[in-house]
Amino acid sequence: MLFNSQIFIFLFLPLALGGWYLLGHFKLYSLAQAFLIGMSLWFYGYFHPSYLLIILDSMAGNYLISLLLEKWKGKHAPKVCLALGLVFNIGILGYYKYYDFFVENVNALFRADFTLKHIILPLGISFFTLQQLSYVIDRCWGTAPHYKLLDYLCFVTYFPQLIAGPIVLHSEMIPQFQDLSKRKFSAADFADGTILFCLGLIKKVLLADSLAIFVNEGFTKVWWLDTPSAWLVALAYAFELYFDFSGYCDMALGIGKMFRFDLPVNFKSPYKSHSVTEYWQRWHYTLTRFLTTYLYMPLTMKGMRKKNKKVKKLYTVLSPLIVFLVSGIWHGASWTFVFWGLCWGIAAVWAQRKFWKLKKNFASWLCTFVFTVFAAAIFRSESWVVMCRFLKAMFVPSVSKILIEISYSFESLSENYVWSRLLEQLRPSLLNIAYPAFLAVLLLISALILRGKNAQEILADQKQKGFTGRFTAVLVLLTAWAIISLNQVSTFLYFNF
Amino acid sequence: MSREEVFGKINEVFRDTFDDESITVSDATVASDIDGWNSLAHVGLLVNVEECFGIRFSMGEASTMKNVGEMVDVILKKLGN
Repeated sequence: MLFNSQIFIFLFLPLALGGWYLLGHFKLYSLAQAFLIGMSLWFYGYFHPSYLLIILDSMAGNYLISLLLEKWKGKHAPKVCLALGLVFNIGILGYYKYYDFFVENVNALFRADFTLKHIILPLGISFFTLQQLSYVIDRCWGTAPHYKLLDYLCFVTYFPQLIAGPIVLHSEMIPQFQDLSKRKFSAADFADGTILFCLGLIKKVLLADSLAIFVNEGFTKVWWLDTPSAWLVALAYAFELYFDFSGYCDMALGIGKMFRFDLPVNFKSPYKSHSVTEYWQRWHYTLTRFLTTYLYMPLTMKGMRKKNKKVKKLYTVLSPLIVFLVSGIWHGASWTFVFWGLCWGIAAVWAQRKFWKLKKNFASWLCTFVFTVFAAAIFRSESWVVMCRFLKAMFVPSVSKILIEISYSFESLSENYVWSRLLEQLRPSLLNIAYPAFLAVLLLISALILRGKNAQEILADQKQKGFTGRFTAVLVLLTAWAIISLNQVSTFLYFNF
Repeated sequence: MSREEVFGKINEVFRDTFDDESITVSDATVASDIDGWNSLAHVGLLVNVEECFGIRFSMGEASTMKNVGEMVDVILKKLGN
């Protein structure tokens, strides 16, 4: 089920909230948790009922590992359970996400003919696998207790974060599920949650989906792109990706708030960053947190403890490279994602060198932003060939009239129907100016929004001011517009990862 | 070793690691309080603290310290105080 669908907004969400608070009101706390798990499984199984088997298997396996650690007090128990947890989780993810990629490469490398399985990636598997992996690792590191089954199932399945994050930790979610004082409805939290949800919906439906029309057309015409159009398509995609994913996260946080649960903030105005390091503290923060805690720290600590200075130095270079390569392959089973990770890794290694310590100024912001636009182009390319063609268009100067042709894609936007038909009748030649002008306005609005306050800051600001009438009117108007546009429902970009 | 003595030694480690003689840490000091305290510097700091006190942090300890106060608590525990 999609957050930006009418069945979710008008049926699922009211039902889930109503049931949760009603059972809480009658102090049927365990039943309320069971109800929430059931609703979350409905939400997940709505995409494809067979996915339920995968998530149930995954939860059963990880819970059993935790139980084994609880019962077995032997000296080697943490190491054995850690190995079991890694093999089990990476094994599941490997099979569903990377099997075909692996076989394709083996076939290409050895001229073999192994059959591909064409496995459809189960939704959210990358997210709930990391979430559970972090729990199992924490159990083995001795920093997590063994939880009751209901608490654990709630932690994994809780529907706002199930499909595309944020990647939550047990330590920030389970205490909230256990806190019975949170089971009572709060009008203030509900209002905060509704505002966050509306802001996310507006970002997704009105901005991301509009930008997507231009981006998709640009990538369809990749062979004819000239330099300005390639940069504009990449820029539009960088904006689209942010509005799409952060819009989803705002909605997730908003729904969480309606249930009185706080999810971690995943986006903190990333395009305001002045360095690569800062960018990854602001963009998809919970993924950065996972990779830093469970991969970067153990790797780097191992290296820094070595006596040999050259080995130490090697680890400081290799660790960020490995982390970003893993991040790349986590995003998708394709060599373009590996290359994307490699580019970020090299940038991160470069950024940590002392000679590359830029001051926070316009130049450092511009360098970082241009790099993120370049990386976005790689990220969006569906194949190596498309990526090479796109990068060639970006970096080998050429000029043509392709931009006008691509901007004609805005014709399909229902908001443009009336004026474009009118112009077509009166002055068709003006459409050659009108559609590029529409693109310019859309990019300008996006840039202004990105420069301003993010959803969390807007909410905090309005709470302080006591919600102004102007803000409420604009929010209601834009939300209504977004809901009307829901008949052109599109999925979220991060559902593919 | 008393808590004050640990703080005195740890303050020196901070100054050496971040190459800044003006640093004075307290229980509540966190990464955002010190310029340059990023993930690489954090690992460097932990290893320098290990060498200074002759201890070794487990990954569980290294990943859960939220401020300098918690780091000092772990050191004191490891030293048997």
